[in-house]
Amino acid sequence: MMSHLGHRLSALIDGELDDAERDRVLVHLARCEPCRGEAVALRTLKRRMNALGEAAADAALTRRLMGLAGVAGADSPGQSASPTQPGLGGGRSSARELKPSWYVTAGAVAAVLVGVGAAAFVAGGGGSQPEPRVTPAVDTYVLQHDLMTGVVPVGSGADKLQPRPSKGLPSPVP
Amino acid sequence: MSRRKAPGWRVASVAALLGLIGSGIAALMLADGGGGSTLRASPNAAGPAPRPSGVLSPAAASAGLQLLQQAAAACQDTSYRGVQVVAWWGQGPTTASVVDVWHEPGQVTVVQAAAGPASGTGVSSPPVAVGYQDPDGILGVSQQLLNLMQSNYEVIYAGRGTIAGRPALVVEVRHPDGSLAALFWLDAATKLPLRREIFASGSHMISEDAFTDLQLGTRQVGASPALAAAPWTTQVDAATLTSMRSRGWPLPARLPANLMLFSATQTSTRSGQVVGLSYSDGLDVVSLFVQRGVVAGPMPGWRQVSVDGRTVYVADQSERSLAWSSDGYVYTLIADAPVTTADQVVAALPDSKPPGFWQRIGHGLHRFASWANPLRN
Repeated sequence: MMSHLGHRLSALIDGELDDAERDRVLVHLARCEPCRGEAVALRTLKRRMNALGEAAADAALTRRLMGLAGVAGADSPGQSASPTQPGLGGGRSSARELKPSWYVTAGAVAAVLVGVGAAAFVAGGGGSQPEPRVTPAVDTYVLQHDLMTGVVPVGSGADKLQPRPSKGLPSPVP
Repeated sequence: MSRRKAPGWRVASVAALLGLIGSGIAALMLADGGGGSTLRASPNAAGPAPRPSGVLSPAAASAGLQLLQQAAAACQDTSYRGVQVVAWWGQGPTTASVVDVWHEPGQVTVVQAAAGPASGTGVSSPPVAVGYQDPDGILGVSQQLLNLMQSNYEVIYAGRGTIAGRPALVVEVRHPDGSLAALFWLDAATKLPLRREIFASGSHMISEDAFTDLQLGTRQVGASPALAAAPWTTQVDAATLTSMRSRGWPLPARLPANLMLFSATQTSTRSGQVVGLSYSDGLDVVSLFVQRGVVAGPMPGWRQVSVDGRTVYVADQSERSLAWSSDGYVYTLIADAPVTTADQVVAALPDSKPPGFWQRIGHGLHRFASWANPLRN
């Protein structure tokens, strides 16, 4: 069922509309049967959701209190729980609900780190040789040395260059 | 590529080379051979070369440096064409070359092999023309190297001599302890370097370079051959070096034996990016080429040795070339320096050691990042 009011209907249910907007929405509801039906459905849904949240909070609080009692030993549940009860009711309950996902995330990150570290350890070892195997172009280097240092070639690569003068020379960097 | 067509030049060059090598061998055999050759102002390579004349004084030191500075300028400003003999007396086989040299102000110096091979001497004869990087000088005399030489050596004017029939001024380069490091003969008229001898510890000569013929003036230079090789042109500035170091590239600013970085270039090859670094103390010059990877294995004509506990490949023909890999980088060292200096350089560069736990994980993460980087080399 499509609402004529769109998101304004849910805003009305949540009490987020200002007075003028609220009046306009209510005027529309008064005249529109489908929107009224949807408003009722939304209110019902919100009420049930609230009820579920309270139940979850209660159950969580109960488990928390039982846990505290077990750790405290001789302390009575009432003594240990009562000072923290207001605060624990919401905050600890949320933390408790987040823990499983947090564990999953942490576990996944740890697994990735260990995997990358292991791979890096293997790749960084001396067993494999990812570097290219090179035969230095010594003739070219000797000639370059002679040219750069102003030393006349002595048994330099110049003679080696004769049969292939164009191939033996390095191509300059563009 | 045009080869030289004047057979007279070839004959003269080979004869000069053989004479030079013969005199070197004779000098090695005679402890105190008094030199009668006009090409040799210092007697020999077996003993400390005495100063040709005069005594050490502040004036002589000042004059020596001033002469080499004039020589560096002359290398740039003088038009000349000559035949140069270059010999390397390393611990391995002697290597030598005879080359023609052309230079005109404002242009690169062109070098081309002058003669065919002389049998039994290990002479190589590259008939390909190559161009020096301007504004470097000849015989290692450039303002850049002079600045370094001034910091590490004493430069002394030692007197007069004669090279190839030309009056020359002799400059000594000495270590701070007074031992001889090098001798230069400069043309008295133009100050162009005519001859250079370099000595290792104990005044053992390891290299000698000399002009056997020299013609001055633009008209004498003539047309030089077309260049077949030129230096890498992509310079690496200080900011780029810093950035590469932060990414793990081992690009030291200085090496043992007072070798300071004075030139950095790079190029890209089929095996990836290569950075070429040149170091000098003003006299000895080494170049270090760094690239990612590991040495594929023994190369033809190279042998495997151990230097400072690490496996290094050394060129059989000339021990000036060494290659090894460590920590994911391949190093190739070209050293115009004593063997002990080259060994110090090898020992100073990073060595592969089994990584620790966290270092190993760090390496692995770095590799992951490099694999994921679409711009990686």
